[in-house]
Amino acid sequence: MDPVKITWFGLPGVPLLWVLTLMAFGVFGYRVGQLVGLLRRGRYESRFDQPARRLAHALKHVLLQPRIFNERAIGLPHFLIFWGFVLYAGCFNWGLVRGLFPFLPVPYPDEVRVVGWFLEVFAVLVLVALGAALVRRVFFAPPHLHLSLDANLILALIGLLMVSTVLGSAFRIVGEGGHTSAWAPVGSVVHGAFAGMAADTARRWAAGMWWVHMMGVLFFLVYLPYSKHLHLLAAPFNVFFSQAATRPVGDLGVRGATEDLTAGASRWQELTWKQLLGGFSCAECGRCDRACPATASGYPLEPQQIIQKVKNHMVGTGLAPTNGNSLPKLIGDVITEKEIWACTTCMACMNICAVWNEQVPLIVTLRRHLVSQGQVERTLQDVLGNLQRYGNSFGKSDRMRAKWTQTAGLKIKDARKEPVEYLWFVGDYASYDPRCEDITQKTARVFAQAGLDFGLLYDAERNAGNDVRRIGEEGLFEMLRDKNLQALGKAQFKKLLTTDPHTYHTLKNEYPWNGHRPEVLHYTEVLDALLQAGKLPLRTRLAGRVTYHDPCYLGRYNGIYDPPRRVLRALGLEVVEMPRCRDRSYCCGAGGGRIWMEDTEKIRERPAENRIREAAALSGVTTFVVACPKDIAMFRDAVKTTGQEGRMAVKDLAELVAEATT
Amino acid sequence: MNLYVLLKMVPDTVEELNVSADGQSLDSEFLRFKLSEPDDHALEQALLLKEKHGGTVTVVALDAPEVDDVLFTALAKGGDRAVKIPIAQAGLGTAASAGVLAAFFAAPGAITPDTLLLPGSQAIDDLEGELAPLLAAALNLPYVGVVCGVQAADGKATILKEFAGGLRAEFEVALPAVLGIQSAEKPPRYVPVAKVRAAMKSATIDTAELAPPDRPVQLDIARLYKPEAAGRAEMVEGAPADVADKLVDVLAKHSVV
Repeated sequence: MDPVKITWFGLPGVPLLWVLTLMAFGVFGYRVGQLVGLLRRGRYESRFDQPARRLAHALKHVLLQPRIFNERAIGLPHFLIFWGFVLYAGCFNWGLVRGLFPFLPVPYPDEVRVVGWFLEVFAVLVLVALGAALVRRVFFAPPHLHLSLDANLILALIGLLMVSTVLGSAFRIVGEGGHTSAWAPVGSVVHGAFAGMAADTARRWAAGMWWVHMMGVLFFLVYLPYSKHLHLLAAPFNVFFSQAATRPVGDLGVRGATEDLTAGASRWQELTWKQLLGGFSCAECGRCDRACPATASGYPLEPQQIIQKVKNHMVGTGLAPTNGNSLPKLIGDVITEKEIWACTTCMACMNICAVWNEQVPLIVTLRRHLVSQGQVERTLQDVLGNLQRYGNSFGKSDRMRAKWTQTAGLKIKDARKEPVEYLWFVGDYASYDPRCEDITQKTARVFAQAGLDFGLLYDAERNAGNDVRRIGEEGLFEMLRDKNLQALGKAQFKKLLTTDPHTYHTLKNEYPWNGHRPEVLHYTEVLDALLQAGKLPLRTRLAGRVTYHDPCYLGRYNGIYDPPRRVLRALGLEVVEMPRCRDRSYCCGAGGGRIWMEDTEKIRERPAENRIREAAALSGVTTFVVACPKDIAMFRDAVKTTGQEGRMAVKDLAELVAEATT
Repeated sequence: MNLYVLLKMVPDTVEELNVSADGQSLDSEFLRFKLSEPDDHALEQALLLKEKHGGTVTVVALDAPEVDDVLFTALAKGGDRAVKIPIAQAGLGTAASAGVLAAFFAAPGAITPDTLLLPGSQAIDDLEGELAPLLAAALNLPYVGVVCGVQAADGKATILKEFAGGLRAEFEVALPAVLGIQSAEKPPRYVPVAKVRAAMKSATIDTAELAPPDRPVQLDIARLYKPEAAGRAEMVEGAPADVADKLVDVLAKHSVV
């Protein structure tokens, strides 16, 4: 029986379906139009480069959803619900067209046996998945998962769609004489419950189920753009247009900008359309909050909230008839300065986000506004002043930059005066921090032992600008970058070598080399290559269990995980992994300029302390190996404050290599 | 209000300071100049007063290395006008500097009834803080020094000073006046590089041609030198009896016993 050939409350089926469809699509279209209108009020940004790469990226992450699987409990359920959705959405449209144009010579989807089979099988799979999702929400909700009524309503609605499909099949079997079929595996089982029903009644029930299903989907269509389920519509675009599809991770550049963006954004309209789209894409799953070291430490930052607050503020003020003066301000009222400054830019949030949102660049955009207004805390202001004047954050003379070479009696080539193969861009902490001096000297000796042809820029080197840029001082970043490029332009070298991952990232990915970018290497990569080539004579075989901390800017930002581990193993050490390792590594808390900011709020535990406790829990591990000068400062501190002094030693990888080569 | 801030460049002590061969001046090889810190506070105080009461902030400086950067930075922070007097500050003593500045302010219309002149209270090469009082005397204006807060109302200014022992005092002074600023009510603000660069592109520095002073220096430096290392301490270690013996030896060596 054709479900549209019946009348409901005296209304014939086809016109009724037309009315309902037009209403639902009308509301849906109106709302989507509104939302797109909001995005168009954002600033322009070109995210249209390399469409083929973008498409491949989007297909992989929308269709296969590898990032959903990074949380096992919901990975498979979400995957099943998603594919169920794809199947059901396709069949809904098919059924709708057939219902609206009953004269078309096509069957309903469930009348095609193989389609019906898939619909029923997926109905069961999706119901099981919904059950898993519901149980997770109700009994095992992870922290920061937004437990909204909205989410439960959607789960119930999807459930209704599945149940109506299965029941529809069961009633049809009863209505058509009770002949079960392998093509209707679920209906064939369920129909037994209605075996006593009159055929005519069953057929009416089957039609009823069709209407329940169709109206459920139409309601869903209306509800979707008003709910968190908007992610279903927006996320595929968000993934397609994501920066990471074509650019280095966490790129802070905005391409094709038509305005000067160095002053950041204080209003939502000053964010780019892509930054605004992120809010529509967020599924409120809380992955980013759970990964965020600032959130875990009790700082007032939750990356998900930044995204959500921008969206709610935009929708709330952008669609309402407004009185300009009484509106809450994006920075100050909606998002506080403390939230904005708490970010370490460690990339944990973006690395785990299943819809590829870009929290870190958004936070930097907000910081740029604060910097442009001079709203910078005192200690940070001093550092920025030092960087402007002396080119280093320590406020020391640039002539003191290579003083460590003199105190160690090292004669290192000046790359400005003679050609070298490797130009060692030492970085501020390795150059100036007394805690790092010994390590830097040892690193130089190891390089020399291996016969590496290397040199320095001496006092012409400036801070590379990584942290400055993430503080939001774009003008100062440009100034430092230009001075470095000028100095590098006068030096003769083949490859750039760095000790600091922050410097490494910026030299590699944020300097405009105009197509002549030299190879940029981290010292762990160089040591790994030297060991593999047999150029580094190992005299003492080290023994023991160590753990290695992946620096954010080496690991998550640049994907370098194995060279340092290979070096440690080559020295004879056993590398024991912390539970959070490689791309799940836990930030030390120093990045993004945090190392210069004072903790004014009371927090539970600093990220570095949390990390040291994690390492201390590993059995037999007494050495915590780092590959970043800032880590030395952060973790040696944390070892003291967590009472691990004497039990856990924080060592730079170069120190261990130096031990093994002497 | 008509606010003037007098900016002075001083040697940057972050860089190594060396005495030149003549033994009377600083070796200029590594010498860099930076804005005197109290002057930075004077600028901040002027900007705060402008924000509260309106008016204009004019920054005035004698010529010195890197002074243009400092003047543009002041404009980027919210200054309205920058004036450079093309007479080298390095060759002038404080009295001569005050004389040149007094000549600048003697121009008709420079000082109006709501004018405040805000030099820094001190500088590392003017520890006596003579510039401000000399300038006030030359212009015949009232002067208060070591100021750490200014409120203005009805042609008067209320000045806050801090004394030892946690005491504060308020002074009232009629405008126009000269106030030597020790510290502003708030720390000097940060101005992003982009704004300074924008100021360098769009703003200009005015120059005020004035006659150089007849006597650039009143005081001659007899000798400039680094403190010489005094005698060293010697640690006497060991068992009490040994320490006593050693101590006697040391005292005997120095003819004390």
